[in-house]
Amino acid sequence: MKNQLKIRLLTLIGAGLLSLSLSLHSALANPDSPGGKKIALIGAEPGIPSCSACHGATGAGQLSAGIPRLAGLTAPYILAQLEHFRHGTRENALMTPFAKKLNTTQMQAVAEYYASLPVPRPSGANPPVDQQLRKQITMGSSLAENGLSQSAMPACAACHGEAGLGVGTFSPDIAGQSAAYIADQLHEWKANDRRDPLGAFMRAEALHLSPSDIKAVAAYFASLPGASTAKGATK
Amino acid sequence: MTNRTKVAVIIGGIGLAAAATAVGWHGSQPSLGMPRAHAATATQKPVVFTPPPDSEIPKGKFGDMIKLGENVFRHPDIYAKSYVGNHLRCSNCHLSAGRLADAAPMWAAYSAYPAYRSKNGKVNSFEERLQGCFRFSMNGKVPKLGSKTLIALESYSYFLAKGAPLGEKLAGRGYPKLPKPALPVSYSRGAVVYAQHCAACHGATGQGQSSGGKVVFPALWGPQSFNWGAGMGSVKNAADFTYQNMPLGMPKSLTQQQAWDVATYIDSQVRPEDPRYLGSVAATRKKFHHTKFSMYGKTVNGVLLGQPDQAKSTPGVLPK
Repeated sequence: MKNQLKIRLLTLIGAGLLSLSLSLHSALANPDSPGGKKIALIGAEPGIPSCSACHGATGAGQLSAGIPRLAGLTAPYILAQLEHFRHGTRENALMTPFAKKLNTTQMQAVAEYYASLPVPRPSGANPPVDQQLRKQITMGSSLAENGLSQSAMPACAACHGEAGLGVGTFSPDIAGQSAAYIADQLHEWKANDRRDPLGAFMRAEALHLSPSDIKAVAAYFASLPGASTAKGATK
Repeated sequence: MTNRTKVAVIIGGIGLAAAATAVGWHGSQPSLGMPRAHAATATQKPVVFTPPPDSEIPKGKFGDMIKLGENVFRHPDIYAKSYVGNHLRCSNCHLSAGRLADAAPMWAAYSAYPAYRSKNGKVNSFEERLQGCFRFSMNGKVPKLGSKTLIALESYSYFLAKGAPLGEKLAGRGYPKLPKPALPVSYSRGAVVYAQHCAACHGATGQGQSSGGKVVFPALWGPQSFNWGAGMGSVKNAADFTYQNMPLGMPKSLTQQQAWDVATYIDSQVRPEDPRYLGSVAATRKKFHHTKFSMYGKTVNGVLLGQPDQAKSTPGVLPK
């Protein structure tokens, strides 16, 4: 599953680098552009491809491929992740080489750029047609809102909020995030990925989740439109 | 969820050989009063009980009342708006919306009432006990006996307790009691524990944190927190709760001493006035806080705790 994802990602990267970097390079090579935007859209010298090649020009990610949305994540969160990739505390074969080429100022700039972008979300207007996905979302909503009282697993909402919007610098906004990405991360935590001090919370959480639980919560958060339409917040 | 509960029940049953053959719960079928708990026969071990899943909430008016109760429990600032004076939720202290064992579960509380309480020197009905939560923990106004809010909460608790035995000691009731701390409790050690283990969520000044405008991590002190009359204002209660349940998802990761110390630190901060205030802090301490577990009326860092207006709030009015 992990290998498949890697192949999927590498293919996308190849295609993305070619098309985006080539087309954007001339159009956006404006020396007045803020550094973050430049790195995001056309890359940095020497040899740092643009983030947008994979994460998209709007920072929306490529959700079905498991490439996360960056738009609207907080700058401290993005910066922390880049630092983790650089130092190897967060392992990712794709991100580590890029992160190693960026200096802290560049990381800060690119983090601020993505944090400033408007957040694309699922509309939430139409429930998915797929029966199995609907079932997963229902099961996921129960896990997200209630946790598992039998095993003392706290609700996901207890830290990410009921609308999945995250809390300050503590927990990221995962409403409408890529389901494949969320699931990959949960599997990594479950496999005891160390990452950072706050990762201890996710490791503890992920240990309670079965593979089908992981699919379910991932599908649930991916479906959230982000606004406070969580149960109870509307009436 | 249903299957998971069933598995838990069955495993519980196997564990108690005496009751193994009596496990009579059949998934989503009506339970027909069949007990879901397993009475220990030979020993006086507490009874293990698993509350029914939400999918067993009955249809109809009673079911609607149960659901309303669950909504009040999760979002009192929406569903019981006129009775609360802060953005705390019942589910902040009664984790997993009142289901989690050792986190003051409602299924265990329900069958424990009516009961005599030394706090007010009389036999309290379950509804009267709920009134106390509104008055103190929620810094609110007390809903009248028989009001829809109390009936809803009672219905929800009744539902969670369905099948629990009466008059038996239920495992998981309240918070497990910590033994006395090895060292005398320390405010300054507590401050260090707080900064290292609590502040990331509850904020450096105990103010809590929100997500999309909704409180996620509750305020532990200050005007947005529980008032001086609340049970969590007892250092002992707070230590018991913290050791067993905090940080979320990592029970018992602090040492017992750390739990005592950080509870002391949290309960030595300013918070809304005790609604039973008798005109002076000294008199109020003497009548209502005459215990070593209350910091009310003590002076910490030059501040006499409990003075009115220390953390200005209007009981029963939600802060913006």
